[in-house]
Amino acid sequence: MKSYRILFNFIFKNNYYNYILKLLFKLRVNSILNIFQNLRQGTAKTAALQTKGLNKPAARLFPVLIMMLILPVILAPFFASAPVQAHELLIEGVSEGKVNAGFDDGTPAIQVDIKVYYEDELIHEGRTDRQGAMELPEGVEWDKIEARDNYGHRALYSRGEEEGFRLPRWAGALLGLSFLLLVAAFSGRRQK
Amino acid sequence: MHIADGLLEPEVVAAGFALSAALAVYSLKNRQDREKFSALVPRISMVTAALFVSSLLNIPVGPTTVHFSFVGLAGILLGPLSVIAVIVSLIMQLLLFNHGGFSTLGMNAANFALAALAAHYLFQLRKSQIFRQSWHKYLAFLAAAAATLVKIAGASLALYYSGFPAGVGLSLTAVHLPIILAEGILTAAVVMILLKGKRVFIYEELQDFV
Repeated sequence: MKSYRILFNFIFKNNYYNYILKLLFKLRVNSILNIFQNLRQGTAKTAALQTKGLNKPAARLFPVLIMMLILPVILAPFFASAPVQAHELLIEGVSEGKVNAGFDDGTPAIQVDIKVYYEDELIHEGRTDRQGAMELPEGVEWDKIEARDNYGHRALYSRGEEEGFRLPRWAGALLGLSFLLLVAAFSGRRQK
Repeated sequence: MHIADGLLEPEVVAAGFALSAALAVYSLKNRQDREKFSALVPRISMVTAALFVSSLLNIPVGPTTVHFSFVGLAGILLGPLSVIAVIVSLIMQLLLFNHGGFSTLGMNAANFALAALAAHYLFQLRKSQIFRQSWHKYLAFLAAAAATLVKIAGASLALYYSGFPAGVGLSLTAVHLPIILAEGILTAAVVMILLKGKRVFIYEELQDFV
């Protein structure tokens, strides 16, 4: 229940959406305003649109609504411990004879099936407990561990294999959004 | 509901790519003429942006976590063009967030695209005489909820044919109940606000005006 309460408070009791939107407009961030303008112009190809919809307040809400869907996700990491998480199952490593599995927000992966392999041969299998850990038998040799649950998540962990570069979530979100907003602005501009 | 790499059998992977390619072709055939399509590109980009970031908003449910997708809203706003938005957003989520997998991209895209199309066609029912205007919000709620269910059904079938137990569909539906409700309510709210302004943002109306 706690997580729902946090989500509810986060969505409905934060008034920083308005603050951010006001700030954006106040600072006259040209690119963002251009996108809004292009969105209108892109749809305002005919006089019918201009007379029928675009002068109505509700019609102008479209980009604002979309931004309101986007903003909480982007801003959440900067506003305390909101429930924003990526959604990837990870094997966090093996320590003190235990395999630790979790999602990449840090919550433990409970009741996840773990299979331990050595030279492609299954040598042990079991399930994680409430802490997302599973004990390995003493002295067992392993080179690969696989974790999977019944919800379509899977993770692989190989001994001695260094984890590759991982883009922080906020950076990935900003990068993706910048690209999409750029496409929106650019394609809208071509309409003129 | 992104299926990770290594969970699906090769036949299911191939079927997923074939299905998503067919849906992409279907979507592009519905793009009207080139000029009108490019007029819609800013809108498609914005909806794609919403789809792209929505998967970061997760709720822990039982032993797992589930996330928003707003795929129903995309279907209602973009109609068949939502397939393009869905495919682009899934590729970006894979590259930037590691959601899903390269081998399962086809199946994930097909599930999401079918869900968006289901929402679009379900919401088209509002034109029927049976539905009064005041019922449109309920129809939007149903469309978004049905979209999530279609997505779960698609993923469950893919997992079932890859050796998962038949109960996977039920467990997936159970953990997604909060998302089904929340997406339904949010989609209904957004659609109702947009419908109040001379209906220019719902896909069907775009065909008439743009």
